[in-house]
Amino acid sequence: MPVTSLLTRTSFDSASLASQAAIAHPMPQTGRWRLEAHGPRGSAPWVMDIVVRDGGLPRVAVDLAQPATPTNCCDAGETPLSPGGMLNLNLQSDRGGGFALLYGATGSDPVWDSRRLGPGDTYACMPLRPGTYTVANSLGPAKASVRVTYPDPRAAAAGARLASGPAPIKVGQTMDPGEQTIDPGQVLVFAIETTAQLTLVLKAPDDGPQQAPR
Amino acid sequence: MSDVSFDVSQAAFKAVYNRVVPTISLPFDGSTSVGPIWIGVEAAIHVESAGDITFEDSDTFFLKELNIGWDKLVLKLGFNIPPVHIGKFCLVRMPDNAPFLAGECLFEFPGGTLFGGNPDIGPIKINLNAIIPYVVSQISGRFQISLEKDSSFLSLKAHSQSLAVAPIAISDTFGKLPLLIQAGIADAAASWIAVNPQAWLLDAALGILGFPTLGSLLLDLLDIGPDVQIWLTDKLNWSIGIQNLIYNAILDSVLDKTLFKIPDPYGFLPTINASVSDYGGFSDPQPPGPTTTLAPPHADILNPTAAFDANTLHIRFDLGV
Repeated sequence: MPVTSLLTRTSFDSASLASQAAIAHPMPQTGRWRLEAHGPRGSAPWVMDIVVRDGGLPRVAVDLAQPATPTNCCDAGETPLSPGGMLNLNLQSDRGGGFALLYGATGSDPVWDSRRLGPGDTYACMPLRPGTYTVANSLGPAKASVRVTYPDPRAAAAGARLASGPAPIKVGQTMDPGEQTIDPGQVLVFAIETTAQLTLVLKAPDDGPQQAPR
Repeated sequence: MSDVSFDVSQAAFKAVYNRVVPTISLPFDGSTSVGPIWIGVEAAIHVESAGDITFEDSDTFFLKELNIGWDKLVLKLGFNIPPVHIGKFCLVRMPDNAPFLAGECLFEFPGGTLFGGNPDIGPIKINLNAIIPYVVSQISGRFQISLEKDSSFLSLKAHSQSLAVAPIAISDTFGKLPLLIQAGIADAAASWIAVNPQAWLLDAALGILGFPTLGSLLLDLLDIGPDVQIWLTDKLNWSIGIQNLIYNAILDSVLDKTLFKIPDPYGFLPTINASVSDYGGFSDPQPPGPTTTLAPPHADILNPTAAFDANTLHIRFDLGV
């Protein structure tokens, strides 16, 4: 039974998107923007034009591995986003390395780089491998610890079900809460309040009870 | 009126047919996919004997039952665990009373897929030989007879005209069947676990799916319901189509059977080895020695016919003398 690699992932990096992680970036200002998407390592970047205007979508989900197809609602090749809506970036590929650069209508420098998250951004990831993870902001002092519980089959036999909702963590000069416990399948949601590049690394795996009935 | 006429009774015909109808073991197999499971059968049967035979008009007879014996019955199962999507839900939603985008989801987590690679467990084999005595199969057929001449014989043959295989039934197995299935599944789960030592992988998957054991997950995928016999007969008959497999397995073996052979030319007496001195004389050419061989009197078979009436098979022919 080859299980997809999501169960075997033991590290996450917000600057290098891979499967089971996503970034949200708010887009409050109207105007035209160009998103330069970098997919899995080694793949060629591609661009998409985004127009922030009234009547646009509340969110635009972008799989960095898949060049976007033009929508039928508006000018050819432009994707409309409502002011205050969010860009949702993810990478549906087991190969990491995904990131995106956002450019304004003028200027050659990006106005936003997903490898360097800022206030208002959100990073989410779903570690499944049971154990204790260390969370760190590579661009700041904040650290935290996350424990992914072992899904004891004996608990499942007794009728217990795993939690499935999001588990929030604020990332400022510190992380709040500093310790978080989730079940496999829950999503860690980091609300970014400072400049950040988040890494999540398995520090101590939890292999569960010995000789558990399976 | 023909020169020669044989009459064969229904009882004698049945006795002869029973001598020629048994077959060697005939293996067959088949499989199909039903939702998340792949199910197959590996079996072997042999034809043992014929049941009642009824002569019909003209040149056909009806075989009410062809008795078969089961040599092997193995159920094969594979599991295509369907993809399980997890973690796809809204992470950031605008409040309902917000001045813009009220109630809209601004950030949706894309989630992930477990077993997205179309994984397989199996095929596992469950030996059902223990329930063979409880498997009931009914086969009937209509056969046509004909007389066929080859170089030295006139043969009476029976050709399969139609063969009907009824869906098999499984009578009461005295509780053996559920135990066989459960034991087979448990063995499959144990074998899989033995070669996949990352226990946490399985437990994480089972925890998300809500199953305490791999065996319980596999049994759930089988969707057996309260009666294993009904489940198995349904799968064998309607999913796998075992009656078609049986049909194809035995068709060739019962397609053409030779029942009688009559020497053609037909000899009246055997060859005679005679002493020349015992005879008064010979027409030319004279025998070269004190003994000679007298050729047997014989005649070609002409205008042969074979036909049934109510209880008798009549074989008639003329002699070319």
